Amino acid sequence: MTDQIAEAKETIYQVAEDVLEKLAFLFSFREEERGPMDYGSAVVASVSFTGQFKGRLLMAVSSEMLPELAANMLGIEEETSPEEQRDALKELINVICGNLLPEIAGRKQLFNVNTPRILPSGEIEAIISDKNPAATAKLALEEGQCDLILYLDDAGPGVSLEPETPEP
Amino acid sequence: MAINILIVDDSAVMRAMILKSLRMTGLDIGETYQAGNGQEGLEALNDNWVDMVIVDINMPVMNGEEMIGQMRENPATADIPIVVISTEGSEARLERLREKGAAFIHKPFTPETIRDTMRTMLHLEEND
Amino acid sequence: MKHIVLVGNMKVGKEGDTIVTYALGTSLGLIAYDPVAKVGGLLHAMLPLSKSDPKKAEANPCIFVDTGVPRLLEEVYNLGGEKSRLVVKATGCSRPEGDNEMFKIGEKNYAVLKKILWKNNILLETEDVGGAANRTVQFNVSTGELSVTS
Repeated sequence: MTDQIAEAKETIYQVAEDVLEKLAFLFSFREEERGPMDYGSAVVASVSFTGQFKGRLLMAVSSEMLPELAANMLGIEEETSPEEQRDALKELINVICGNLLPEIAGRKQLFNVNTPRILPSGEIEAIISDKNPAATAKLALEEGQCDLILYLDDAGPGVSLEPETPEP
Repeated sequence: MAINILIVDDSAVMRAMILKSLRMTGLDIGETYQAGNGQEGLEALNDNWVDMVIVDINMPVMNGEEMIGQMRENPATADIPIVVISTEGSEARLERLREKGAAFIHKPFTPETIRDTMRTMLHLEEND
Repeated sequence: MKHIVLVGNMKVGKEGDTIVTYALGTSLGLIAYDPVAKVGGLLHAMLPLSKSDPKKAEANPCIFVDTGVPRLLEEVYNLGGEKSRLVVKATGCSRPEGDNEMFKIGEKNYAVLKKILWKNNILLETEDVGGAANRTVQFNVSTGELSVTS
């Protein structure tokens, strides 16, 4: 299982780096060595999904990065509203999650990604203390940080993180 | 002739990004309408003259695949060109969408991809 | 007349001119061209962001993508180019193998370009970027023709 988790983590990094660059014009660097972010000074989005496996992805971004993130995505210089900023983060996690699942599970699998939402701070702590993540990716952004945490629900029989083998 | 476009996506930021990309193409865009899910999308089609529909897959209330299915069953909307813009990675679902005649753009997209897809769908030459 | 653009520089020209740049590696090569006014320019920008050396950027904005691209557009408009007719093509931004991955200069140059174009509502007509090649670019201002060889 260790190999699959390492693989899932690598996949999260690759997908997140690619989507951050293409959708939000943000360059990111891996920060494997640092501890988790301070979620108190971050905005955290969550998206749940069902399919071959069920679970959720959390994405935390330093609060001070949110205005740039939203302005980049919308392609504007003007200030963005707090609502636009939260909506931008929700779309970002949505695109990351939607690209991540087929990368992990293979393109023959069908997943449904639910509507992302911004987590209130109490709920973040409850999720983090409740169970161990399947994989965590830690990134440095230009002027902030970003953590991506993948949680998988208890897998039923025959369900694993192992990528699907192609059919002969 | 100006084309009227309906954009269906549950994210307002994504709808704004698609609209901005469309305006950058230089094509003659007429009225644009927006909807937050498939149900609202069908209602917008009912109320307005729309020449092209741009639709996401994963949405609450009614997803894009269901909306496209209902469009194709209704003679009034059966022939409207459809572009799906989604993160969708399932081969089976993409094949079902292709069978319904939808073009597909993968998220994250570049505005150039939207221009090129629009040119192909509207049968425009490269230099038009 | 033939103009040669050195690294961290740009040239603009009009009908009858050819603009050339050599040894385009991780640098961005960008042309902006108005086919009606027959004016255009070529930028050879080395690094993505001017904030890494604001003094240098003030002395020569063309070293950096984020200051060089607006300068190129401005000069083309000054020669009579119209934004609505502008044709923009990108090249360079290579990703040589064995390079220190941490820097990824070519990729970053490209990402900064795309962000500026997105914010300014400009699409790339064509792009020939990435790969390991060092490119030579020849831009014929009379015809708008761009030849990229490596």
